[in-house]
Amino acid sequence: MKNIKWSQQLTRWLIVIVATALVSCWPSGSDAVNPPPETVMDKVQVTISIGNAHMDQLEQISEQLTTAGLEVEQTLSTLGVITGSVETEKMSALSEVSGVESVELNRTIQLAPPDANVQ
Amino acid sequence: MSIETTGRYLIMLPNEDLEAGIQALRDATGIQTVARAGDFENHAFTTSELDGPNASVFDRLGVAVVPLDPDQVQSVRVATAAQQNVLAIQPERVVYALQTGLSADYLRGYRDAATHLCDQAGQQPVTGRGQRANAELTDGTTTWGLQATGVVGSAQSGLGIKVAVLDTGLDLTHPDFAGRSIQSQSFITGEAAQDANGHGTHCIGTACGPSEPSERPRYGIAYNAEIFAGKVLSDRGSGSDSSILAGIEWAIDSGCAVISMSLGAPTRPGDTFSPIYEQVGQSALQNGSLIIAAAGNESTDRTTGGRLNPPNPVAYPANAPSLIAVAALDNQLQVAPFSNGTINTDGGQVDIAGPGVDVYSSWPMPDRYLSISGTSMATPHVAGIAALYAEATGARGLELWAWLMRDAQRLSLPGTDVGIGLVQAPLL
Repeated sequence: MKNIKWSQQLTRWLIVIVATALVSCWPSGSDAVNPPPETVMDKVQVTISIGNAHMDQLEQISEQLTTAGLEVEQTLSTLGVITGSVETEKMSALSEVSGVESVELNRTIQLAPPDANVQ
Repeated sequence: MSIETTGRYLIMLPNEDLEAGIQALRDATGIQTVARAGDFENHAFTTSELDGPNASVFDRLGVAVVPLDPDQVQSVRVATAAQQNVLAIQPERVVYALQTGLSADYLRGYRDAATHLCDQAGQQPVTGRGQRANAELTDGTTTWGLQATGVVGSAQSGLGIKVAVLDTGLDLTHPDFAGRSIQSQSFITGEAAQDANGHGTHCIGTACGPSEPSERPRYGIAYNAEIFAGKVLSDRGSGSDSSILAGIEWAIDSGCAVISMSLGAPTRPGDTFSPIYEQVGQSALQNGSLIIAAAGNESTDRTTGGRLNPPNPVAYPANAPSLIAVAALDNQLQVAPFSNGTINTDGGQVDIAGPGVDVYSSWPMPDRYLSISGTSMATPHVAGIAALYAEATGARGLELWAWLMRDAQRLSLPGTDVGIGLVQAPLL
């Protein structure tokens, strides 16, 4: 009868150990509430021109561009040009906004240094 | 080659007093019957009238066509020399449609005409604008660029004309700009329009510097123009399209007839121009603003110091057709080694050239002045001269462009390198 008591004891301890282990491995409730952090999207600077026929709708087109993902920086009404930034993958969507003539990436210009012979 | 003539003569009459011209013609030739184009429907002469013995006068052209005998020709020549309301006379020529291909006759004619011109050139003294460009440019009171472009002799000063220079700003403390009408605006976040680089001050000096600077030589063209100094490039010389376009918007809204942009980014063969800058250029022209930009400085052969052959293409954004692209010449009127050329057929042409080597102009204090080179220096020469034409003619936009092109000095250099030629100040 001693053997049976011992093996029962061992089994109970094993169950406790396994149960404890299972409980500690179970995903905690807090993980389900806080998702993993998002990856940062690449943004680019763009210049957008409005077709001549649509110059008087600049404001509406600007709003539609914002909806399409553009963060408007400047609205140049005489030129019919809007500048701003947009996530790279959303750039093509900007061209599809009605009234948009061209969408171009902002280019940067760099002069030769002031002490250069040729400027 | 004998020039084929009809026996009739073309006579130039004064447009402002055609009647006096016709009377002078009658007096000189004895021909009383003068037919006027205005007598015919739509001013269309009948061929029988043109072939007749009377003088036929094209009212709108100020030209008469008339058969003359040698005595009459001589009388008219005398009247021309005496400036008696008859301005010029030349034989009426027979002309033919141009053939495709070059016939032996054509080549002979071409050779004979060229020989004739050479003989004439040898006999006549070189005068006028050709003289000015070839003369030794050693006048110590003005820069070589102002002499070569005829600014020195020009009666204009850019009075009443607003000139925008979009660059690194202006040294607003420079004594040479004291008392001038200056609007300055920065389009660079965190930086004022005050120029801490130098490039902008140098370009504004060339375009609009004073007729009497604090120290000789004179280096500036439109000395009475209203200066609009737009800072679209940082003190470190960099900028982006958004600041440049904002500067252009400001300049057009401010009523600037001329916008000078000595800035650009390199292009490669096969590149096309920016549709946006082309649209912006067209907007500017329609609004009475002419944008003048540098052709770029990427064509030096680093191994020889000479010019690459072929050169590198015209820079962005000057390569847009509606912007004037300016190349650089030295004081021998040769193309500067660094000056880009017309390579890309889709836009990208050099339109005109200006002095761009060893150009002396203003520089931020305390240095005050500096000589540097670049298509950046040629560009404000064209801009300053454009202001002179704007003042002299009242022309704006595309019409102003035409004045610059029409009166430029043609050179014996490829148009792909110098466009129409060396910009010249108005003689008006």
